Amino acid sequence: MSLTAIFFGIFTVIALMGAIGVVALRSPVRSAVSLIASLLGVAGLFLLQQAEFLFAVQVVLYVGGIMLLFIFLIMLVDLESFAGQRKFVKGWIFGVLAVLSLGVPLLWLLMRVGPFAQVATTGSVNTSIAVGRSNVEKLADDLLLNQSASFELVSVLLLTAMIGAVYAARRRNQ
Amino acid sequence: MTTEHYLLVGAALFLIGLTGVVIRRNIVVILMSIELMLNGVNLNLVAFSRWNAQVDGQSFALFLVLVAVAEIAVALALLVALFRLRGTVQADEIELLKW
Repeated sequence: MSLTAIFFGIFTVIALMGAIGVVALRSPVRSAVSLIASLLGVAGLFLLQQAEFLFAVQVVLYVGGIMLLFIFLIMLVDLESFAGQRKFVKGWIFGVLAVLSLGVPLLWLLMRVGPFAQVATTGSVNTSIAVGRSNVEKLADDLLLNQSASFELVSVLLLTAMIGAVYAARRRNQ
Repeated sequence: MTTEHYLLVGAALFLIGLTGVVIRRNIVVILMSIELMLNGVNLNLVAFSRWNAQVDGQSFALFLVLVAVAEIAVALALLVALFRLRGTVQADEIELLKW
């Protein structure tokens, strides 16, 4: 068993156990901590696929930024009063059945796809992305040359979201 | 590890997140589950980007992360406003527009 496979297994277990924890744990604070574990596991999977820049973005933005927002929200909203209540909605079993009706065919199909496995294990594909310039350089070229319009648009989106968030959350004095 | 392994992990993350969105009552946890689903999608994008030996998928994943940040900022602000207005964060207690 190669080192990559071992790390893949470790990161997968962290990501999936964290994800299950988010859904299954009662307290939202525990869910948030579990989400941190899951996001770090996914970050590790990015690193295994030579997406170093996305790994950094995942750690800084998700684990640093979004989780901070969640923790702040948990402090702002008084969650203690909901502590003793039910975790799941009424009729949650139907929700699980609905998800299974999507999930079982999806996972079954993914198990059956052969071509991805065959192409990716030939080796030529994996090395071609590894040699040459670094991942950050290539990503910067793609972002600033090929996708410059989207790059500018997403900054406008972030500004709009920021103003909208401040407007929506402000205290209205009657 | 081959592409399909990553696709399987991404699909599993997506399905767990979807389960959380469908069955949990607390809106804070529902938002976290949406983040899980977005992470599953990101994993797919990166896996295909590597399979394709192009970085397009990675820049797409980067945009997806930024859109997720914008989405979560607005959603959390709306949730704070909702809590002030209604005093609840349980999804099934907000039923004004339900049939």
